[in-house]
Amino acid sequence: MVYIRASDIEKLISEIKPLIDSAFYAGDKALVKFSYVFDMMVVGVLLVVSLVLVAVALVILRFTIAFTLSEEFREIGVMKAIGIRSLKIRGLYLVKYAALSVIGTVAGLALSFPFGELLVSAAPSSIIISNQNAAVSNVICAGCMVGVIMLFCYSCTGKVGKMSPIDAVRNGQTGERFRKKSMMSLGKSKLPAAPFLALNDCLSSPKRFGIITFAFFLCLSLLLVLSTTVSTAKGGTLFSIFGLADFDISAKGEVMELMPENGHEKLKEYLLDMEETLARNGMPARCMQEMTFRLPVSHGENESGITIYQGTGTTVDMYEYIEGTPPQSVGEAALTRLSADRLKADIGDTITMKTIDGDKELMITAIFQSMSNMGEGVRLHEDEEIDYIQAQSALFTQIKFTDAPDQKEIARRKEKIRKLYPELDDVSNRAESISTLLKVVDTIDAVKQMVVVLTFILAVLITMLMERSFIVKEQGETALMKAIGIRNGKIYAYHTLRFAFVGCMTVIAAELFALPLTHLFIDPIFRMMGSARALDYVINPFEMFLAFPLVILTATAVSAFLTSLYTKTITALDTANIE
Amino acid sequence: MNILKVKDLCKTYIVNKRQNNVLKNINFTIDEGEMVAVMGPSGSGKSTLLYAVSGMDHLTAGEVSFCGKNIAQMGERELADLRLDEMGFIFQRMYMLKNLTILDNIILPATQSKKLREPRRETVRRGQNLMRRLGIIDIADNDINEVSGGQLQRACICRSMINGPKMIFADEPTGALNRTSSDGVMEELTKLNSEGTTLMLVTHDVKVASKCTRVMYIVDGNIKGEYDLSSCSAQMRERERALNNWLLELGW
Repeated sequence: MVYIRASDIEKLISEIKPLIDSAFYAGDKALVKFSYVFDMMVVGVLLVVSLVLVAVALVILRFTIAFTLSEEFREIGVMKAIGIRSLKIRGLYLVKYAALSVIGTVAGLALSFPFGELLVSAAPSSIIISNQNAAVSNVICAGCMVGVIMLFCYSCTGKVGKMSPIDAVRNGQTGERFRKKSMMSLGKSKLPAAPFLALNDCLSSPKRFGIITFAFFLCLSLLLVLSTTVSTAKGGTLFSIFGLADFDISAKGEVMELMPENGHEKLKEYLLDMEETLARNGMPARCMQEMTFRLPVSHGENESGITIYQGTGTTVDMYEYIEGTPPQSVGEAALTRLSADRLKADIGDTITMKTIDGDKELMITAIFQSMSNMGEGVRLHEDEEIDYIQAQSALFTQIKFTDAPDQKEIARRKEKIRKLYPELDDVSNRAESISTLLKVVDTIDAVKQMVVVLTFILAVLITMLMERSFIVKEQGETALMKAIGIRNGKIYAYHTLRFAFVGCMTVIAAELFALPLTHLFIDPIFRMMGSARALDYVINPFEMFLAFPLVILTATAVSAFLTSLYTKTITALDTANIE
Repeated sequence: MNILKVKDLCKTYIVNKRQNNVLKNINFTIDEGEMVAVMGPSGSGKSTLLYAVSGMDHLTAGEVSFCGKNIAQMGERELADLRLDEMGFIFQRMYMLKNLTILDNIILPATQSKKLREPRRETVRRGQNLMRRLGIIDIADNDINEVSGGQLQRACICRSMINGPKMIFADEPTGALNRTSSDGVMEELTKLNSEGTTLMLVTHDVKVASKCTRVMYIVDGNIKGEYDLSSCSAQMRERERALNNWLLELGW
């Protein structure tokens, strides 16, 4: 392997063109990078998960700081009244948060080493270079994290400057009339008291409950995006973006051994024989084979070695095109957008393909997409004459049953084909084949499972933290409710339902935004790999509408209920102690 | 007829391992229709007595019988139901739920009560009638921070009345109000009493206490004396003077 570094790639390519043409592989740095894009996808997903977790942590931190300041409104007023400056008061809180962030960061740093090893092992080894300075970089990141947290805390404590000394005199009340708070009317509502109070609280404090909903929304959305991506990848519907015809079963045979002499004819016989065998065994099918060739293709002064596709047993209308009309006859071809751009050609232009039998002129009639070979390709008409001795590789043999069997029957036939053709490798259904092509689907699935657990833990922790904060803040109101005779059970229900409503709002919002967010984050990744249009995502209804929403709803409702039991320690007598 | 009977009531707090006997062998009764004031110096146990006899606090010893039921033997649920259906409370600081309107705060206990079992609109109608009686119907849809202290305390009186309680307990109902509002609130409470509601209230204010039918003076957890105002002159100044003299004799 020869590596060349140059400042002018175009000039370099034109200078060493003969070398490139005869090379087994020649490509620029971007092409090499593209070849690892599947691997980078996994790492990218892990990075996104980390960023979401950091965002959630900052959201909760902001809420906690705002809550603490509102609780200590009067104390801050007293400090101001006796002459302590805002900056010094703010400093009291910043010192506290600095201590907490250092403790948390040190603990996180300690955990980062084993956890980092785990994540590195989950990422593909083909793109990981061992880091000799892992410890140093971890420490630097930890230090930066403390800095980010402190900056964030500094900005959140800005409210201290707005509080006045008179707050101390007025016992925390400014004396001003605030805006109307209550959103609903108990008299006009048909809801029982507990759900009414819960819903009314949520609507009366939209910022407070909105922040919690947003934090849960981030987690659930991430989960739904991963679920949709995995189910689409595993669903087998992505075959068209690989530039393949539809099929039910795929299998790898020793097709390349047929190529040296009369390869195309032998291939046709091979496929016909397979069709007859399958038909005799009650599985009428069409057998197809994609062959690839690596040949120089030029348009004007632009030339490039491009992967050429030709299908045997297929017709051009079995493939998906995004522009133009399929090649109708010999002398016509379809190109991927990437290849067309590289050759500076478009529909209607003529390109020249160099073969061992001479140059062939091909008119471009359509543009198609393919995620194979980093998105480049030329598709020939099935009747285009080309010597198969030039074949570079054979994709798996594709079998499409002509009697439209259901999935269960296809699974049964897959096993039958395995027995009929023991020499064939990797006999798979369509979904399995596409998953294999996408390589990293199982890894992303594993990341998804990890995110499920993380989401559950986060939802429990956030709910418990918030609910305890609310209980402390609403101690007076709880005591009052008990004093006027409202039972403990009703109070538990009221507290629990608040978070149940938050959970429901989270689920509704996440379901509404799941597909748009999937398009937003996942389409660019597939586009990078050669997909020319937005994908038709396949959802997993069980995960989308039942399992993952239940994760959030269960976590919030159960942890809210268990935390609300703490209100039992508040008695009716505490009305005498309300400040 | 006795509505409240207290026998040998004791209440002790343990603070830093030290025993503090706040109430010592308290005995008294309150008849139906009475309006009784409890007075005494700060720390004498007035509020503790109020909360103990109303079931809001546990007794250390003794017996409290409310409408023939011994509340010392009741569980949490029973006490909650008793407070909801048979008792009303008025606090010094006009506590209300901040996310509800005035009317909603008033009718909230009624929505929980199984005593009346009426449609919601009927509850609303009764709440509005109460507010009309106390002259605060205009603030029905206001938030609690949109009204004055006097209006809020009247709203608390309405809330205490919504379930038709047998007895209302009030802890310094005029303590946080100015003189005008205090007079207004006491006028309402007196009117309620004249209509048959039994009241027990804690107060520092001689003027407030002089409106009651009986005054108990408590010092260091003991009832030092009781003064019957029912036979006094109807003239408020006379009543105040008589009460004041009696209190001075007791060391007020």
